[in-house]
Amino acid sequence: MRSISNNLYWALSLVALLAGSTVVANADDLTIATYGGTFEEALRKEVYEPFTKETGINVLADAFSGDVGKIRAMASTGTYNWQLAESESVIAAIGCQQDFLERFDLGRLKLTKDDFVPGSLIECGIPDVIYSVNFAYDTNQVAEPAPKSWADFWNVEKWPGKRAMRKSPNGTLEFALLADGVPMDKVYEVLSTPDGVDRAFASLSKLKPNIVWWETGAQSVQLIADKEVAMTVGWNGRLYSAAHGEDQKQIKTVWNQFRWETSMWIMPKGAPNVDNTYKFLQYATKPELIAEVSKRVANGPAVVAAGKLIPSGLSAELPTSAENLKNGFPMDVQFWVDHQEDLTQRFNNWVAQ
Amino acid sequence: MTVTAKAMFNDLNRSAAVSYRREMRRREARRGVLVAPLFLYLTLIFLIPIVIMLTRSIEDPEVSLVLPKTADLIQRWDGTDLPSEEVFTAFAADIRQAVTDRSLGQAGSRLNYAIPGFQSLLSKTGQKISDVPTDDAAEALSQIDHRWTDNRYWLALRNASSTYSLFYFRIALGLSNTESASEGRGFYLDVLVRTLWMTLVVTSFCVILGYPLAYFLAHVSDALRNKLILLVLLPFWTSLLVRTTAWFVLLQKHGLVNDMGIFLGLWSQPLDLIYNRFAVYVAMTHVMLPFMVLPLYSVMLKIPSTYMNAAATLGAHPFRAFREVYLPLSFPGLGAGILLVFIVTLGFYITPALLGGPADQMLSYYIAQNASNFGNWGLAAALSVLLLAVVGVGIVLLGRLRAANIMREA
Repeated sequence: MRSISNNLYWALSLVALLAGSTVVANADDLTIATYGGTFEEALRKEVYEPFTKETGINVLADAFSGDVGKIRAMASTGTYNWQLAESESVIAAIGCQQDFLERFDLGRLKLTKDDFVPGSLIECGIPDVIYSVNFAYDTNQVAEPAPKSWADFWNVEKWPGKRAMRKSPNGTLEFALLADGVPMDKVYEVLSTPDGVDRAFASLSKLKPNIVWWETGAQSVQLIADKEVAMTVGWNGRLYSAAHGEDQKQIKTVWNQFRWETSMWIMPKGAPNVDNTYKFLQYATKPELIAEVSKRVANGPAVVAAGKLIPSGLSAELPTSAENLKNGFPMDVQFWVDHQEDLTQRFNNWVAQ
Repeated sequence: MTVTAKAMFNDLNRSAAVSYRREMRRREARRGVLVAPLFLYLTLIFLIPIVIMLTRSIEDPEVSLVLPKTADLIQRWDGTDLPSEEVFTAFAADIRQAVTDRSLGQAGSRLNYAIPGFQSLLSKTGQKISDVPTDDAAEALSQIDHRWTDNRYWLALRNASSTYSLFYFRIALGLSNTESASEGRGFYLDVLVRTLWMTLVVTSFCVILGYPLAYFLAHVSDALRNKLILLVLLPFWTSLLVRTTAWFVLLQKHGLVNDMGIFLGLWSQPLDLIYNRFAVYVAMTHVMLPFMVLPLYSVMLKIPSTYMNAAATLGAHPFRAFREVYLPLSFPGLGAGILLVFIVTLGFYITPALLGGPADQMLSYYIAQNASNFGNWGLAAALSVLLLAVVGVGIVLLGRLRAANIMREA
């Protein structure tokens, strides 16, 4: 009988080992999840490394994929893969409403609402940068006069060639309405009605045969660099770094009818190590650091004081510059909190037809 | 023999039988104890989590937990016009409590599945409920948002008020009358049909390609056979992800196949070989082929060649001999191969996700999307149950088919 209880013992220890293997290694380390790419690189160089040097707190990087289900699972089971993530505002707002994200204490960060670009701060998200969704075209494939609106993006007779768009209703349906003649300030009003949604899909259906769908930011610039498409929808930072890379000067970003939104830090509810997280946030929201990160990724700083530190030459290529800002529109966070799921369902259905 | 002697003999016999049976039982128990760790492991790691996950498909507890008084009262409402003042009062009280408990979001996410926007209506109401007078709850609520005078929202509340419901199954099967599903109605049924169809196509390809290959393997010389079997086993031992990525490299726009074709002048523009059904079928058939070939081969090895000779001696055309002698004898292998390929293919996820377009995704893609992207575990669980049910039906049908074959043979 001894050997049997031994067997059981080993089996149980194995089970315990497997169950425990997801726990963060060192209690003092701070694990931060991001979407990766150039943004994470910029954070590592400009924020993580000096932060570790100054405080001795190690920063570990993890991948963030914007999966609401995973964050909710972390909060409800009390098992945390990371303590902080750099996220889209919609997720921060959903997390606040569904209460799986922590509400931040601004006083503890020694910041006030006025330190941030108006409208960017929310209870569960500390804004860092502002980015935008624009379209860009390939000057080698697209003839003059240059396209400058979504109606032009839709016009494949005048500017032939495929178009690349993100396989998501978010940041697609808005442009479909703009192409159909809805003014920028009425987009979400129209999209909130069933007729408006039908109208957006009808407009999208006209372009559908010419659309190549992408799912990651890297694909969006790859498609236009490889000349698979003549125009692409993409994040301004990605488009900027592509256009400033090797031999890609032909990629031109259009600063009209673009949609801007805030990206922010979020913390899952009940995450351990709160002191270190706050230490990090206090460090990461310093204007000079935000300005450095913004410069590297060509995003606009969400901290007002950092805006003044951006050189004017770069400023023209950021969504937050005065001239650009009046030609764009902000994403309606609340709209996407309410409709992300049902419109994604319908979008998937429509794409598959 | 005397009567007593006979009785004694019987007794002896019986006690021998009893002790024999006892011994057998003890041996079985000992064997059982040996597999106990495995059994325990499977139960803990596999069975319990799956059962818990599957029960989520019928659990619907959020509203009755967060808004208990409302959930209790609204079930007595007949659904016409608006609920009674009593329900409004209970609702206002529940919301106040939920705001203190910070639990309103749980109910909100559930109700948002029924009517998009319900979640923010609820959180808006929660924020403003303390600013409005408490004596007339109905008036107070309609002041906060006019949607509280719309009975659709109350109907959705009533539908969500019991702890267990078939809500997620109704969405999965396209029977739901919620407005979010109005356009996507039956979407998951379409996906299910697509999944089944793709599975059938892949299984057929595997039969068409695998049967001759297995036949060939079973009838070549031993030396050659060992080398060829290795060629079947090598991909079988390679990771699924590696094989899928290999097809990605081959089929992409400037991949090996396109470059070769253009180089040889077979076509001038790169063909669309990837992100479509073609790529998915090619890769899935390749991945599944060993599952078809191996059971077929092992059964074919055991079919004596004398049977075919006998059929030929009796004057049967080779085709007839194959159809009436060889084919029925290989049925057990064919059945096992089909069953394996069918079940594994139904649950395919990574290959269509990497090589297919939006219209080529199978049910598991949407299960993953609901579970991790949306965090809608109820719907993910309901879809999983659906997939499991299809597998079950498939197994039963194939089992029947085999039984019928065996009967016919007899």
